[in-house]
This record gives sequence, structure tokens and C-alpha cells, in this order.
Amino acid sequence: MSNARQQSEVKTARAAPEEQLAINSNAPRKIKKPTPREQLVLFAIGYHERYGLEIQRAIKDCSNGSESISVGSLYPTLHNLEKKGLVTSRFGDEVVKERGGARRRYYSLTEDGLYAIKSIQQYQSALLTWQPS
Amino acid sequence: MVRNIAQMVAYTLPSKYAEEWLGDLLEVNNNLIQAGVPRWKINAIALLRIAQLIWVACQITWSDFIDTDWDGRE
Repeated sequence: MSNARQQSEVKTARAAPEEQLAINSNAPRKIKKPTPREQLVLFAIGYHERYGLEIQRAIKDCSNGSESISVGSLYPTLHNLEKKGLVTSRFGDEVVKERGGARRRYYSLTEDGLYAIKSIQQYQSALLTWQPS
Repeated sequence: MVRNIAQMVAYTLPSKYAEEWLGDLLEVNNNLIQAGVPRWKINAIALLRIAQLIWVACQITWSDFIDTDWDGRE
């Protein structure tokens, strides 16, 4: 499979903002539902490209230290998200001395991943405003 | 010490993830050294993380084995 074709098939959250907005969140899609832990990681990745330690730090910082995720659950979660097609990854190009020459693996959301977090947000806001008929 | 153990452990980890996981391990290790954490504590944390990585490797291998499509059908 050519590189260009691969790139067109796997559209990530790195796409231009207009392109992100063009995703029709009303159109029903068949995606594998993320578990609560997977949802946490999806939100931590958000619209950026993040590597493992950054995801851990984002969760800890945004919860003011009340929530954390260990490597023992982070890596299997990322693996599952990749299998579900909600997240894609690539190796970074930069050489970081502290890592002994090992490259970082950057994760970003796929279109399905973006759709998943938008669906969760819609569901939560619908719950907030729901009125019994 | 951590680097030597990590090099040995690398052979037991899935090849797809070994570079990422061990790189993260070394990065955390160096961050702790820079933060002035006692050496014994850094080594203890690293050993715990190495044990976690081996456990994660087993988990992933097992889950992939369970999810294998033996018939080759969708």
C-alpha cells in the first residue's frame, strides 16, 4: 500500500480545524464503544498528538492530582484504542537524550475517535438538560 | 543499573512497543534524577515499572491471542 494512500485512509486529529468541523457528528457511525478508562485517555489525547508520559501528565494535571493512570493501565488502554480504530500512532522524529535514543510514540485521534468524544459530550449535555415528558 | 536491566527486559517485550516503553522508562528515570530524588528510590520505582511492563506485555499478548481471527473471517 502506498504511503499517500495510507495517509488518506487514516485521517487523524492533526487535520486542519475546518476539516475537523466538517465531521458530521449527526451521521450515525458504527464504532466500538470505549470503556470509561478508554474515554479518559481519548479526552486526554484530545485534538493534539501526545506520547504516553504526556497523557499521564495531562490526566494528573487536569484533575489536580486526584486522578492518575499507571503505565500498567495506560499502555493496554492505548493498545485497545488502536485495535478499536479510535487512535492512531506514529514514532516521533526528534532524538531525546534522556530516552537513550529511543523515539517517542505519538498518539492522535482518528475520525472515529473524534466522533466518539463528540458523541460522549453530546450525551452528557443531553443528560444535563433532559426533562421528563 | 536500570539501563542494563531495561536492555535485558527489552527481549521479553513486544517488538512493536519495546522502544516506546523503555524510552518512557528512561525518561522518567532521568526526570527523577534531575528532581534530586534519592537513588535507591529511583531504582525501586524503575524496578516496579519494569515489572509492570512485563505484566502489560503478557496482558497484550493474551488479549491479542484471544482476539485472533482463526477463520480469517471478518
